[in-house]
Amino acid sequence: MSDPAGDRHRAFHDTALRWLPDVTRFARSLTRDESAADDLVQETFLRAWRHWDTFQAGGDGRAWLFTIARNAWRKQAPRAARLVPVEDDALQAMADDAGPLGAPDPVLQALARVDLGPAIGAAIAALPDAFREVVDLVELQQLEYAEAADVLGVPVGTVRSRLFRARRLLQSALLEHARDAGFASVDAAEAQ
Amino acid sequence: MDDRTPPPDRPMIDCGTALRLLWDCLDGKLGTVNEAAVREHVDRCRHCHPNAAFAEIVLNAVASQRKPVADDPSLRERVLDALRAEGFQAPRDDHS
Repeated sequence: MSDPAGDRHRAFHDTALRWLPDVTRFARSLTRDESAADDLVQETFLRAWRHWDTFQAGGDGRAWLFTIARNAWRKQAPRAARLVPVEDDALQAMADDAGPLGAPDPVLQALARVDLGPAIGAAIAALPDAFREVVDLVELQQLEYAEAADVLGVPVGTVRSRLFRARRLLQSALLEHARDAGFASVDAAEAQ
Repeated sequence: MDDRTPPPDRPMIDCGTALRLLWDCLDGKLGTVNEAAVREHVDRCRHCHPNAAFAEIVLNAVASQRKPVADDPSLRERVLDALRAEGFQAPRDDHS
């Protein structure tokens, strides 16, 4: 016999709760604090449950949860920790100028040889919020630009320009890492 | 012929265009023709080749961070407890 209430619980379980690890990662990226991230994850699922009836069956549950998480964070975060939206025109201009950086051959060879995991992880964590959340959604969670744009409530072009700018910053961070590790001279890195 | 000279049968795209399209190329978001044009340029151009190589290194490094996040049983239980307090009933086969 059909049990509409039971179906609702089952659907929430199967469609929303399955994304708990992904929401956790996104929350950690937003908050940069494990305890705050756990609070945000709980708040996200509570809001999702309260508004479950508004979720469209067959929709992207993960993107919906990311949107809820981000909205919840923006509402509850300390003022200083809230995202500071960068003027999109300015960002677009930066992105237009954000072609890839080059590096001298020996530096490239060294970077290709070593484990960049810790360095890139730290570089991502250090990105400004507006850039870090795009890297998290597009690069790590592998959302399409349009999906990330929906989550962030910005045009697709803004996602793209923020991603380009973020990558440029990550390149700069890796060059600095190369300098610190001694396989690039300050002059060589700064010459790029 | 220097290393930026286009082949005789087809003009090569310029450095600015190649750099502008490079990230999209590496992301696989260009069509076949444009992707081939960018790859041809960066393969031949001494100026752009290191830029492309560095861009690929960065993308590979970022991709290395793309690890699945393990489920945290204590967090899941905490979330379920909060949901239960609001009337949610986890299916019986939720063994988490």
